[in-house]
Amino acid sequence: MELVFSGVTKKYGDKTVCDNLSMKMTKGVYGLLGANGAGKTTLMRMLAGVLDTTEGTIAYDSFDVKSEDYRNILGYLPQSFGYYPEFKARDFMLYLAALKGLEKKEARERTKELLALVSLEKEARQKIRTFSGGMKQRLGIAQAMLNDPKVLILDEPTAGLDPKERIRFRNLISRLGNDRIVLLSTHIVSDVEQIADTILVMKDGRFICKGNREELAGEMTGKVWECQTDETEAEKICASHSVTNIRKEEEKVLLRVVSDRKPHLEAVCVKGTLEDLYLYYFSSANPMDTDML
Amino acid sequence: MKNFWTLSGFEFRKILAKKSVMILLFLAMAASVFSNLGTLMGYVYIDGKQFETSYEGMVKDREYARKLNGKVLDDRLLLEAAEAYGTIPSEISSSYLATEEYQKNARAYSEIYRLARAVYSQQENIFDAGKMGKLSKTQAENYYEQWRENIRQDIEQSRISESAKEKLLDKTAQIKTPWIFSYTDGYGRFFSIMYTSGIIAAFCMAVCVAPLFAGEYSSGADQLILTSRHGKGTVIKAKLFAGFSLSIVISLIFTLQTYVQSMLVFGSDGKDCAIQLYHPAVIWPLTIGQAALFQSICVFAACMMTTSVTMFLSAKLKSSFGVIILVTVLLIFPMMVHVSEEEILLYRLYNLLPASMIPFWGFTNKIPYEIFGFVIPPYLYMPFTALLCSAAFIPLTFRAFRRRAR
Repeated sequence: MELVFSGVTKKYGDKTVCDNLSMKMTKGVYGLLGANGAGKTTLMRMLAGVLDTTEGTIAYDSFDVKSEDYRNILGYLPQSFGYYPEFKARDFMLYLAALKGLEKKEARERTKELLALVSLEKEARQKIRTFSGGMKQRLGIAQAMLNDPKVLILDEPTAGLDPKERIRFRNLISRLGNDRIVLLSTHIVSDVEQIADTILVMKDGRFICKGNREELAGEMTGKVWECQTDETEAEKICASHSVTNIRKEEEKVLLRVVSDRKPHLEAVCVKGTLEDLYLYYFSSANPMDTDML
Repeated sequence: MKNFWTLSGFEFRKILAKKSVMILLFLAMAASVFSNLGTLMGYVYIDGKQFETSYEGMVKDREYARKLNGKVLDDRLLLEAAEAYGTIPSEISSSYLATEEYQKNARAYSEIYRLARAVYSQQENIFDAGKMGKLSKTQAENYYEQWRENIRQDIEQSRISESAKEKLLDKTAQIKTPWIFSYTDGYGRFFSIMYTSGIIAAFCMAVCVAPLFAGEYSSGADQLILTSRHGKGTVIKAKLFAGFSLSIVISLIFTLQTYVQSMLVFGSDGKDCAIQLYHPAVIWPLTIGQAALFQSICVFAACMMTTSVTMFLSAKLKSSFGVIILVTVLLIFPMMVHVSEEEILLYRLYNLLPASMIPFWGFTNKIPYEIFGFVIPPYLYMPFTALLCSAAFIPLTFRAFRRRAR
């Protein structure tokens, strides 16, 4: 079970959205982390076979990603996708099951099972137009799993879910990663931090770092600092450095700063996290990148 | 195959579950029914005065015409009609229709007068009721000679090839004369109302089918479809099947409704009579029943062609609204534009548009199609081409959806 992509590039005119990406994926959960516009969705669409590569190859074992065989083992949740408002949740699932080639009996059983898994069993006969954003997202997750896929590609799967649903869903993905390839993209750091075996950080169409949580956090050694200062000094540091956390403690302010150099005389070097890494790579380029931390 | 039927079922549900579609179909059917019954509502006015109700007029004319059913349309019948028309006073200030003489004597022969007028009228010399009253024996005896001469001139003056002209003249020789008169108003109404019903049916098809592919793009569901096992094969076949079968059902319903309603309201007489009894200028050897059948086939083929073009555009464009606009233009365009017979190639192509093949004057047009020396009547060529064109769009539609978003 290997999903291999090599030298994958996608260009729209002169703009390169994905630039020479290569990777071999085996069983496990892969978290694709990056700011908006980093090229995550484009890469996922190419891996799902809905978008052609400009250069490079993508293959799953012996299957081409354009083949019916590949689509047969693929589960895909796009970032935003359409529902049929007039359909009931159950009908929507049965339609997708037919598209995925499930027999009627199996389709009914899987539909029941998956709707229960995403806590929509009571709403099974309710029209989708009455669903909230979170309910639609859960339905989307359920449809992606209908054919018990060997490759599960989830683009921003936790968007619109409440904290309880997110935790449930993270646990579910974690379990699914035991016997298949799960690739999920997000710009919510905590989502991938908790469940991804391998984290891929994308920026400007490239992987800027790959590894597990510890490996990536290790890259931040000597770059994460904590210091306690007064408010005036804190403001100065905030203006000149990337600050991942500010906490007021009585008269003082405790700052967590990501920087190549010591930001303050009394600053002490601490162990880095994935959030620190994310801020390190994305904050200077685009302040908006940090909005979902 | 099981998935194909399941997917087809879902495609039907996607189309028919929309309230807007059901409302449109209901309104379209109501419009078709009204266009038939509407002709019987209101009054007949002569010289601005209310004369009788339209329904009374229809019943009266039908009774008169039916009394002539089975009579040979020959010099005797023409002179009989002429005698009746001769009783109408020539010096009248208002319309002759209001005179007692017309109502008592001539109205019973108004259908014979219609047929005489169609043959004896020349370009600027209209054969009016006064001339009918003075129809001579020689003129009456030469009725069919005059009719054949008119047709010959019509063919000779057309821009078709000489060999086609010869073949058409041979064809017209097959039309048997004298004609046996029959009341034909039921079929006449069918011919004219089928134009409206056919256009309505084709428009309904465009609205129903436009979202089949474009709706998936605009909603974003295309990504789910295209990444599923059957998303690039079976589901496209299911969509095409749903579109075409809906087209068949809708065109059949509208044709049957128009036929049954016309026959029930106006009468079903005249099926086996020559089409020339309805319109003497037709050059093809058809019975009225055959002409009705060919018109139904043309409506069916036009609906299939419209559906096929709509599905292709739907697979190509991102918005169903854009598709509906384009197909509406395609349907309305032939009604707005006149193409001269002088431009024979353009004229022939123009007549192959869906809205051009539906009306009576379209599929019975005197201009035939010439292919490899064969002269093919429009009522055969038009539906054949439309169905061929529908089939040709299938692989294009298939390809357009499969290659979407690449």
